[in-house]
Amino acid sequence: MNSKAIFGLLVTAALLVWGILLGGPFHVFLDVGSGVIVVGVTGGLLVATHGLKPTLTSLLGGLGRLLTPGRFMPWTPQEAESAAQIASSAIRYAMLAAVLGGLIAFIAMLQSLDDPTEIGPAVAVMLLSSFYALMLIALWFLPVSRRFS
Amino acid sequence: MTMTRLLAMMVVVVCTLFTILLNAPLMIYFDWISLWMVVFGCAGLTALTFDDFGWFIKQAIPRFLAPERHQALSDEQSLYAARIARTVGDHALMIGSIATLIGGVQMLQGMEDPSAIGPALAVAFLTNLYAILIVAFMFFPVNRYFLAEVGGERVDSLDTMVGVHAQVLSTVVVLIPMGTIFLIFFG
Repeated sequence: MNSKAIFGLLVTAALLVWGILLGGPFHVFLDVGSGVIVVGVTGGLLVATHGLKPTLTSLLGGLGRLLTPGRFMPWTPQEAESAAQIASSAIRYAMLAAVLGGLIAFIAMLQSLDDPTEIGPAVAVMLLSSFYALMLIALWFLPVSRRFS
Repeated sequence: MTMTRLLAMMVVVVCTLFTILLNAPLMIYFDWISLWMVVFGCAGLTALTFDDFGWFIKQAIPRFLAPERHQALSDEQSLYAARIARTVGDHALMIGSIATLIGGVQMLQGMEDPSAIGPALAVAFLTNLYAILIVAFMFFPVNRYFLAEVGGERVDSLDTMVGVHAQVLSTVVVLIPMGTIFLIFFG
């Protein structure tokens, strides 16, 4: 158990949730479409590029090794290097998925400009795919990529 | 050397403060929540990423601040210090971007009350401002200093600054819909 790492992850997540709750209700940050496009596009592209097993072992194993190093076999330098490469790809793909989800929601909004009261919430959804992608990168992909490179 | 460096950093801080005071009172640039989010969020993510951050504080930062009084790091250590500095900077910028998005979503959900839009977005961009200040005044110079000590950035080319990409993404994603809305309703 690396208590410092677990504590750091929890503190950051708690701060972000706190920042959300200070400004309004939490449910406006939940959107199925944005979640699907970020997770689906990022995961799909990763599996297509690197294969299913390397992707899973690198990303999940990387996070596991950050949080509970005692429960995993240490990586050889080559394994660590390839895990960092895959995490680095994950960062790029997540950004790409964010742009994609944002554009899709933006075009949908432009089609329904007749009702001004609907525009605000419709655009808010456009921001959510970026929000999910950046959360994934900040809390998961970037730490793995930087630790093992 | 140390004096020159201190003086240069003071010039940077004074110039920034001067620009701030020229525009508005200093207090409107202060917000506890944004400050806590950047500082503790950045510290938490760094604790998650590296377990020898203490070494960076005790060895690398003093070497950067007063090079003639502390022994040089080896090439490998310098590269490692450069990577830690860049990662901390990236984490700060990521937190800033996420806060911008949080503020943007809240602002767009509450469009019926126009008087709340300005302050909500100001707090969101304030987090961004703190992140950029931390990076610009501290971690970016540390990163460049240790890269220069080793002699070149070719060895450190795995990733560009991820945080900068996140900044561009979040700013564009917040500003494009706002611009569109303003064009439609007030244009």
